[in-house]
Amino acid sequence: MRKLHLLLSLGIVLVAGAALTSCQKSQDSKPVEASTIKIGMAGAQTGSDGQIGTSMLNGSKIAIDEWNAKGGVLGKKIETVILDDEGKPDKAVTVAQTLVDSGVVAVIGHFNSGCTIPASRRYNDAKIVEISPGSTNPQYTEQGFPYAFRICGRDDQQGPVAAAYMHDKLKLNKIAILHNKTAYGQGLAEVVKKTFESLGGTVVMFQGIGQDERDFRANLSVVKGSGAEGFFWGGMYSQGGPLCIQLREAGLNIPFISDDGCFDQSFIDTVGNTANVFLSFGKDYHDLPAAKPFMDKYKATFNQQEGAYSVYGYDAANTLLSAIDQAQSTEADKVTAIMKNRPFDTILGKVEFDSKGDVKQSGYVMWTIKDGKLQVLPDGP
Amino acid sequence: MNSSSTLTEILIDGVSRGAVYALVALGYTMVYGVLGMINFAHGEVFMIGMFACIYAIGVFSTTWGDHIFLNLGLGIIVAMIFSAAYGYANERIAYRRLRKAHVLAPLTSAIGISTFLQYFIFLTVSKDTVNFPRYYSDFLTNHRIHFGGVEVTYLQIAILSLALIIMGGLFYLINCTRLGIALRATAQDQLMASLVGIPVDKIIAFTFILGSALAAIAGVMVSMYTNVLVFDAGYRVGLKAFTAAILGGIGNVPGAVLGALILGLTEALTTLQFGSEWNDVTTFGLLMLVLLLRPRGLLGERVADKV
Amino acid sequence: MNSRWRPYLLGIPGLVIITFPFLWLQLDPDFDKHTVGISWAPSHGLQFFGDLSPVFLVASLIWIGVQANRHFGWDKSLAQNQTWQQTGRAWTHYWAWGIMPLVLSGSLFLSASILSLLTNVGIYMLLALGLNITVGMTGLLVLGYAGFFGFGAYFFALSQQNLPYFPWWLAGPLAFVLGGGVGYLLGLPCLRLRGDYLAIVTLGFAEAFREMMRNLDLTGSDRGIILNDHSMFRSFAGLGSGQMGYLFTALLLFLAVFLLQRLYHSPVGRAWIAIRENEVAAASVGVPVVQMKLLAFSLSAAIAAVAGVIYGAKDGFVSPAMCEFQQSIMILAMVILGGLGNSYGALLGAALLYLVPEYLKLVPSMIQGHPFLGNVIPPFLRDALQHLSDYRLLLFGGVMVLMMLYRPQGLLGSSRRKTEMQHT
Repeated sequence: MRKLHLLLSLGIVLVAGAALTSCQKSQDSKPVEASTIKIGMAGAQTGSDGQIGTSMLNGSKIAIDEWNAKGGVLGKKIETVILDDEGKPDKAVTVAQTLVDSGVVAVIGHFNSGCTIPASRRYNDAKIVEISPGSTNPQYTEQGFPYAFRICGRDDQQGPVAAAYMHDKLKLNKIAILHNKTAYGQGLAEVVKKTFESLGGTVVMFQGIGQDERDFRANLSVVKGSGAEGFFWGGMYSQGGPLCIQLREAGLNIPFISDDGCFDQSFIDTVGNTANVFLSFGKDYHDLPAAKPFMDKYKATFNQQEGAYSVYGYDAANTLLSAIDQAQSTEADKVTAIMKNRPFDTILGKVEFDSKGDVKQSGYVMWTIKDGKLQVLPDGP
Repeated sequence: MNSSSTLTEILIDGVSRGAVYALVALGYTMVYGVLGMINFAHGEVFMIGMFACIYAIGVFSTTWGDHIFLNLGLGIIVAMIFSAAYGYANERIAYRRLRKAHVLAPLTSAIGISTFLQYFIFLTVSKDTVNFPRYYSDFLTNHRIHFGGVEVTYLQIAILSLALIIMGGLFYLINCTRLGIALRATAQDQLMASLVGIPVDKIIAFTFILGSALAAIAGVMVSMYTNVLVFDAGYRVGLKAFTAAILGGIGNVPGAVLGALILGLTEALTTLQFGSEWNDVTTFGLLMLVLLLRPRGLLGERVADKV
Repeated sequence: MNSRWRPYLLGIPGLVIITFPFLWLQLDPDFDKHTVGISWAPSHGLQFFGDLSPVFLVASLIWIGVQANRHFGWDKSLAQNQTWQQTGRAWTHYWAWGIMPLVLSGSLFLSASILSLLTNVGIYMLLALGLNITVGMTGLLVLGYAGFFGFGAYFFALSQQNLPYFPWWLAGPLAFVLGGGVGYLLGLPCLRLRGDYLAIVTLGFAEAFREMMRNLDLTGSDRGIILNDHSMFRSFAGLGSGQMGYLFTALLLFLAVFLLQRLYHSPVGRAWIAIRENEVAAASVGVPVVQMKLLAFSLSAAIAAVAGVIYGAKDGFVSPAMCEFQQSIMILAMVILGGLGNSYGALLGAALLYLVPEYLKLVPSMIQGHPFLGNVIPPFLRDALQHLSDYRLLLFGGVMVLMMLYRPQGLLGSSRRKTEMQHT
C-alpha cells in the first residue's frame, strides 16, 4: 500500500504543478485585457549556433528596450518571451507551440532556417506575424504564409553572388562543395552548385557531412584528388573554422568561400589571418551613420562586440514595432498590410517588403578577412 | 592529382583514423574483457584528456613561456594523468559497487557518468568549440613529407608510429610480463584470480587507468589535427571505437586494433566513393555483416562466460 | 575508523584536484601568436556551485528523509516480499479503472497547451512501456530505441505524403506490424549471441536510419517532413483535434497497460522474468530463450513504431532528430527511473523525466510573478533557479548514477527487486 501512496502523492504533485502552470498560462493568454504587449523571441541560444543566435536576439532586445523607454507601443509596455530552440527543428516546433499558447502577438525569430520553416506553420495557423532576422532559406517565404517575413536576404540571392564571385572574379572553373546537411547549408550549397554550373563551371565534389563531425581529412583528400580550384562550405562557423584550417594544413591553398553562417568573430578567431578566405554576407553597415550608436550601445550593454546578425535583430524588432504602431493594432492582418505597403527606415537603409515577405532590395556582397577583421571587398559585386 | 594517389591518401587517412580509434577501442575492450561491461564513459575520458592537455599548455605557457616541445610533451603527460585519474574515479564511484549487480546497473551508471562529464565540461569550460593553439600543432600539421606521390603530414606519421609503439608495448605487457598474466587471469575468472593472490581490485583499476591514458593520447592527437575541442567530442569517437572493438571481437586486444583499422578504412573509403554523409550507414552495414557471418567478431571474443 | 574513512580522505581531495582546472581556471587564447594562456577565474567555480545550490538543498532534504525513513521504519511494508502476482492483480483491476474517467475527462476542461503537453507525455509513456518489455522484463539492454520511434513516424509521414489514398488510421496497425518485423530482423542475428550486442546493433540501426533519412531528399533530408494537415486527428463531436489526440493517446495507453499487464502475468511474462533473472537456468527448465527474447524485442519495436505514428499524426512534423541517441537514452532513463519491469514505473518515469525539465524552465518566471515567493526566496537562490535548467543534463547524469548505486529498483520497485538488481 505504501507504493500506492508514493504513486498518488507524486501524481498529485504533477497534477498540481500542471494546474499551476496552466493557471499561469491561461492568465497570460488574454492579450486584450493585458497591460503589456507580448512579443516572442525565438532562436538558437545554446548549441553550436548559440553564439550567433544569442547575439541576434540581443540586437532585438536593444530595440525593444528603446521602445519601452519611450513608453512601449500602443501605450503598453512590451514584454518579451524568449525561448531557446537549440538550433533544432523539433525543438523549434515545441517553442513555436509554447509561444502561440502564451499569447504573443508577434514573433521575432527563428535563426536557423531549419527551425524557422517548421515553426512558421504554427505561427501562421495562429495568425501571428513572424519576422526572421537570419533565416535565409527561400522555402520560408515560398510556403505562401501571409504573416511570414524576413529582414535578411535569401539563399537564392546569396548563392549566386558567391557563385558569380568564384567564377567571374576568382576565375575558378572547378570547385568542390561541402555542406552540413541542414536545410540552410544544403539549400545554399545546392543553389551555389546550380548557379556555378549555369555559369559554365564544374562542381567536382558535392558532399555533406554531419554537424558534429570535426575531422574532414578524408573529404579533403577527395578534394585534392578532384583537382578543385576552389572550395565552398555551406554551413556554420563551428565547422567552417576547423574545415578551413584543415584545408590549409592539407596543403590546399585554394580559395575558401563560405556563407553568412561563418560570419562570426569566432570564425575569425579560429582562422586567423589565413589568406584566400571569402564570405558572402549582406552589405557592410559599419560605415552607415545609424550603425555606430547601435554598435556602441550593444558593446555597452552586453560587453562584447555585436554579432553578425545583431543589426538584423535590431532592425527586425524595430520594423515590427513600427508596423504595429502604424497599424494601431496588434492584429496580424492589419500589421501585415502595413508591412507590405510601406517602407521602413532601418540601420541597413530603407527596407520594403514584397508580397511574399521578403525584402525587396537585399544586396549580398563578398567579404574577406584582413587585419583580423572582416572587410568588404572593394570590387565585389 | 591522379586517382591512384588520391586512393593512397585516402588509405593513409583511413589508417590514421583507425589508429586513433584503436587507441580508444583498446580501453573499451580491456574493460569489457575484465568486467564484462561496456564502459560508456570511456569516450568522455578521451575528451577530458584533450581539455587537460590544453589547460596544461596554458599553464606552462603562462608560467614560463612558449616552448613547443617542452610544453606539448608535458601537456600530453598531464593529459594522460588526468584521464587516468578520471578513469579511476569513474571506476571507483560508479562501477565498483555494481560489479556483482545485474548487467544493466553498471551500464546505466556508465551512461549517467558519461552525460555528467560531458555537461560538466560544457558548463565549466565552454559551450562552444575551443581551438587548439596552433603554435604547438603547426610543426606537426604543416610539415609534410612526400613519398610515393602522396603527402603525409608529420602528425599522421606521429599517430601511426605512436599507435604501433603503444600496441607493441601493450602486447608485450599482456603476454610477457607478470602483470599481463594477472590481467589475463582476472579476465578469465575473477574469483579464482583473487584466490591465487592476485589483487583483483587493483588489477581492474589498472585496466581503467591504462585504457584511459591511451585514450588521452588519442585525444590530444585528434585535437591537434582537427584543431577543435568540444564537449561532445568523446561521444562520437567512443561510439565508433566501441563498434570497432565489437567488430574485432570484444575482449580481444589484437581484435580491437584490427576492427579499428577496418572501421577507419571503411569510413575513408565511403567518403571517397559515396560521400561522407553515408559514413554511419556503411559502418552499421559493416557491423551487421560481420555479426551475421562471424558472430564472435573477426578474431573471436575473449570473455569468460558468466553462468 | 581509519579504513572506513580512508577512501573519502583520499578521494575527495583527489576529486578536487582533477576538477580544479575546469572549475577554477579559464583559458585565454591568444589569437595573434596562436597560443593559449591561463588565468584565474574563481567566478566560474563559484557560479557553478551557486547555481547548483538549490540542488544541494533538495538533495540534503531527500537524504534527511531517507535517514528518517530508515530510522522510523515508515516503509517497512515495502520490505515484505510481495509476490508480483498479488500486486499485479490488484493494480490491474481497481486502481487503474478508477483513474480512467478522470484522465479522459481532462480533455474537456484543460487548455490546449496543457493537452498538447500531456499528449506528448502520453507518447513518451507509451515508449517507456515498450522499452520496459525488453529492458525491464527481459533484462536486455537496448540503446537505439529511438530508431524504431523514428521508423514509425517516417512511415506515417511518407505514406501520408506520397500515397494519397492511404487511410491515416491504417498507419497505426501497419506500423505495429512493420515495426515488429524490423525488430525481428534486427534481433535475429543478435539475440543468439551475448545480450550486449543487441544494444550496439540497435544503436547502429538508429544512427544509420537517422542518417539515411537525413540524406535522402525523398524523406525531406534535414528539414524533416511537414505534412499539410497540422494534425491528423480530425475534430469529432465538438472536440477539437488537440483534444481528440489527447483522448486517443490516453485510451491507447490504458489499453496498452492493460494488455501488457495481462501479458506479464501469463506464461510469456513469467518466461521473460526467468530470462532476466538467469538465462541459463531458464533454458534448463525449458524456456525457449531465443524465441522469447525475439518476441519481447519485436513487441517493443512494434510499440515504438506506433508511438511514432501518433507523434507524426499529432504535430504533422517528423524530423531526423527523433532518432537521436539522446532520445534513446532519455527513454531508457525513464524506464530505469520508474523501476525496471514495472509498467506503472515506466509511466511514472516518463511523466517525471518529461515534465520536470519543463517545470525547471518555468520556475524562474513563476517565482518572479508570485507575490509571496518572490520576496521570500533570497536573490542568490533566485539567480540559481534562473540558470538551473541549463544544468538539467548534468543533474540527469548524476541522478542516473545515484539511482543505480542506491536505488537500482527505481522509484516503484520493491526491495525484492533491489536484491535482484544488486546480486545477479
